[in-house]
This record gives sequence, structure tokens and C-alpha cells, in this order.
Amino acid sequence: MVSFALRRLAQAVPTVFLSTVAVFLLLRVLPGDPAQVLAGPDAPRESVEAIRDSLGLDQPLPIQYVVWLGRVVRGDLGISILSRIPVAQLIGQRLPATLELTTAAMLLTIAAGLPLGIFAALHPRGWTSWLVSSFSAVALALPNFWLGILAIILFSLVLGWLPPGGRVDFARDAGQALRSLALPSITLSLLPIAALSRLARASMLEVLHEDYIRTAQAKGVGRTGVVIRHALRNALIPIVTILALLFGRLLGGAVVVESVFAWPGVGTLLLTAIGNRDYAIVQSALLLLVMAVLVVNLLTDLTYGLLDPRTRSRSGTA
Amino acid sequence: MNAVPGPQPHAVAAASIGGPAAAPLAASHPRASRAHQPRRPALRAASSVLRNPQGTLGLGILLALVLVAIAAPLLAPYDPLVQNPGKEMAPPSGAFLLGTDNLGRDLLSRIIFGSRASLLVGVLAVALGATVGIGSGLLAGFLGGWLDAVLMRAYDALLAFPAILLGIGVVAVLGPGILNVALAIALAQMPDFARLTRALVIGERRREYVEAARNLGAGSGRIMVRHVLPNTVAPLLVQVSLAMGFAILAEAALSFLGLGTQPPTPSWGGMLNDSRQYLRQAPWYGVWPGVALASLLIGLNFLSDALRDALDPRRVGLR
Repeated sequence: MVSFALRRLAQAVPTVFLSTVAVFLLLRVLPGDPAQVLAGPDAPRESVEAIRDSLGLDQPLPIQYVVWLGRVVRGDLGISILSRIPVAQLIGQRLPATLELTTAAMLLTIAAGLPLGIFAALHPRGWTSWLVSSFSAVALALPNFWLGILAIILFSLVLGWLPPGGRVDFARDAGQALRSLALPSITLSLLPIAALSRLARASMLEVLHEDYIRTAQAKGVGRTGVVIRHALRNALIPIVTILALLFGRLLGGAVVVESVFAWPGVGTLLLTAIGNRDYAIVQSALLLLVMAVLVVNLLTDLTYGLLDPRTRSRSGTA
Repeated sequence: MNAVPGPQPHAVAAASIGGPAAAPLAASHPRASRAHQPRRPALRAASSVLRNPQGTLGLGILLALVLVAIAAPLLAPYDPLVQNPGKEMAPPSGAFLLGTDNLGRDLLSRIIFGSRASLLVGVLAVALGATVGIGSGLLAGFLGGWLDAVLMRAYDALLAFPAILLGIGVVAVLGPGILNVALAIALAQMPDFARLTRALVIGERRREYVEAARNLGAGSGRIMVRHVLPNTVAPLLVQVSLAMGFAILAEAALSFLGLGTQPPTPSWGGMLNDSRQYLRQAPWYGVWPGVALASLLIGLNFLSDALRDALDPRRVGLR
């Protein structure tokens, strides 16, 4: 397992390297002088020169990249041209909101998607199974921003049950915080719920036809025991993988859903920064989100290795 | 099509599932309904999609919206850009079937013309993404070696970007607009096409027909394009239909965020973005563009599901 983990870590190195290069180049391929872009169009000459010096923009690109990466690793993400606040501080302020939204959506996904899929697999010919697969076929196709708009129209404007947007901190008022979190997190989780229930159903159906399930049943293991101890444990392997994939989609979706519900997270920070051409923020927010996806993918593969010893071997099948 | 006859992919796939003994069994008991099916895979797939109610519905929705996009000037009751002062946010009525927007423009006409942005970006993005992705996947899978390693690591890095973030990043640099959006979406789709093609090609590469073609003196390029590629068409076709849905969704999302199709050109995502400030006064404004978008996406989903059922050899016999 240790050698598998080390090998997997080594595989992640080029991916991390290439994605940091991509985010680094984002600013360098912008038309115009990066120092001027970072300083803002109306910045005085001195501050443009100061930025040029601090970024080493007169150095060759590879050296610039190393300098930039060194700063990023030390938590220096540059300064917002608009507010003159360090980007790390701005992102730090917005991160809790995004984490809250994605965590809530992930919990909802697991809490709803798994049982729906398992239930549909255990009753493959019932109308509930048909309902689950129809729901996921439709939910997978619906754009989350439109679902958000429909939810605002129905639950905020017509029924008046929930606020149409904004966020209340849990520390201030837990009840209001839950109410403000409800619509965004449900909107964000619908697509992952559909995807997960679909996969959980397929995965369980496949496992339930295996010989060892029949053996367990023949031994007299009860239905619940078969489902939980024998079937679910094996069906979980593909499910863990899709959870990681879904996490990436959740982060991407969060940018859109935050915008729908005026949720003050990293996504809305990123979008505002694009509108303001505040590129230090754009670069850092993108880097943060991409690194989060990479780390989750890595953790998933490691978990996968724990759950299924076969994947640890080099060929993956031996 | 092939100069050298190869084993039929379907027969091989059946054997790999049912074991060596299953293939002759299946061959000696062809299902009665199969006997009347066209022999060419493309025709068989088409007839299978049409026999699937969801597939027919999906294809119908797609064709209908393509017609709407082409005939938009004939179908739209008003010019989608003309503002009607004094008729702002009029509810649906005989004059304006779906109501008007905040500038008094006819929503139905804007939705009809908005289909053009969606379909145009969908086609452009998939054409570009599939061409580059399939081409590089073919090279990586067939040639292997350092080229394979370099291409796949690069695509891994690209895959790490959630698609919508990649789109946002590219548009942040290049600026908004239909072509840049199509380019951004194509970039997000290349890894999927490349990885799928590579996996399929690696499966085909060791087949006897490749060896046979090589012994007959065919070069790598000819073998790749004339022999290997045609055998990978079916799964790639499914991927194309999935990618279309994804591209149309991504265009709408980027336009919704204000980064895609720019006003006053009508696009469904852009209209939903504009509607947000007026949901209280004009809820229909936030509903109808989404209905159009959702129908197209659901139609494409149905179509790709039906295509997969029709073309995926592993599913033959399961339904």
C-alpha cells in the first residue's frame, strides 16, 4: 500500500506542475503588459515598475514561474488592484461560504443519492425504480442556474418560505443560516444526486448478480446482511470514484449557483474579479479551485487502493 | 470499407462477456427480430434509435430545434432586437404569446433566435474538440511511447480543471463572445475524446486485422485512419451526442454568467441572466428561456442514451 501511495503521488506531480503552469500563463498570455494589467489601467508609473520588479517580469518565463510559485506556496497571492487588499485575505474571507455550500451539497448528495440508487436496485421492476431513473434522466439534463431561478420564483416569491439569496452566518443565527443555505445547497446537489443514484443503482444491480451474493443467501445470511455486508461493500468502489468526480462538478457548479443566489463565496469573488479585470484574484481563485480538485482526486485514488487491493498492482488487473 | 476483413467487433465483445463458448451459441441462434435488421452498423443503430420511444423523442426535439434555428426569421412574430416602449414586461397575451422582457422585446421571438447561439456553439465546440481529441487520442493510443505519455499527462492537467472553470478562465483571457466560448468548451472536451479514443485504439491495436494490414504493407497512418478508426466510430458517436449536450449547457451557463453570447444577441443563458432582476414583476421571463434550453438538453440526453443502447456492443442482448 505504501508503494502504491508513493507511486500515485509521483503520478500527481506532472499534473500539478502542468496545471500551475496553465494558471501562471493565464496572466502572461493576456494582451498587454502583465505589470500594467496587475496594477490597473490608471496606476501610476512607480507602482507598475514596483510590480514589474517584484514579479521579476524582466526575467525569462521559467524563472518568473519559479518566483511566482515560490510566492504562492508562501501564501503571497498578490494584491487586488481595486481594493488594495491582499488576495489571500480576500479569498480567506470568502472560502468559508464556499466550503459551507459545497459540504452541504455533498452531504445532501450522499444522503439522498445512495439510498435512492440502492432502493431502485433492490426493486428493479417497481414503479419507484422507474421514478428514480426518470428523475435522474431529467435532472441530469437540467441547468442548475435555471433550477435556481425556478426555486427562487416558487419558494421565495410565490410561497415566501425561504430568502431568495444572500447568506447568514451560522455563528450569528443558526436558523436563518439554514434557511439561507437551503435553496443554494439543494439546487447545487440535484445533479450530483441524479448522477450518484444512477451509478449506485447500476453498481448494486451488477453486484447483486454475483455468485458470492447467492452463496451468502444460501448460507442463510439475512437480506439486510447481504445488502450491507456483501453487496454494498463491493458496490462502493465505483461509487467512491464518482463522488470525487462529482466534487469537481460541485466546485464548478458552485460558481454558477453562488451567482444565482448572491452567495458570497469564492465563485462570486471570481466572477466579480473577471468583471473588474482584477487578474490577481482571477488567477488565485482558479488556482485554489483546481488544486482542491486535484487533491480530492488524489485522495480518491488512495481510498480506492484501500478498498480494492487489486488496483494497487501496476497493471490494475493482476 | 476495410481493405482487410477484420473480426466483427460485436462478435468479439459477445465472446468476451459470455466466454468462448457463448459466441458460437449466439451465432447459431440468431434472434428472429435480428434477421430483418439492416447489416450496416450505422443503419442498424438508426433503426434501433427510432424503435426506442425516448430516442425518437430526443431526435424529434433536436431536429425540430434545428429547423427553428434555420427558419428563425420566418417563424418569429417580431424582430428579436426591436424594443417596444410602454410594453415592458407585458405578461403573455395574444400579441406577445410568451410576454415581453424588461426592454419590451418579444420573448418568443428572442427564444426562437436564441436557439441559434446554442446550436452554433454546440456544433462548433464539438467539431473542434472532437477533431483534436480524436486525432491526438488516435496517435497516442496507436503509437504509444513518449508521445502517449506527454499527451496524456497534458490532458490529465486539463481534466483537473472543472469544465466551467476552464471556460471562465479562457473567456477571462480572450474576452467573451461566441467564438471564444466555443474554443473554451472545445478545450474542455478534448481530454474526454482523446482518452476514449486512446482506450479504444489500444483495444484494437493488437487485433489480427491490424497485423494483417501491416503484413500487406500498409503504413501506420493508413492503418490508423482506414482500419482502426472505423472500428471505434460507435462509442465515439455516443460521445459526440453527449458532448453536444454538454457544450450547449456550458454555453448557456457562461452566457448566464455574462461571459458568453453578448447582448443584444439573444441567447437562452443570457436571457435567464437578464431575467434575474425582474423575477418578481415578470416570472415568465425566468421560465420560458429555461424551458427551451431544458427541452433541447433533455432531447440530447434521450438521444445519446438511445444511441448508447444501440451502439454499445456490451449492451447488445441486455435489453
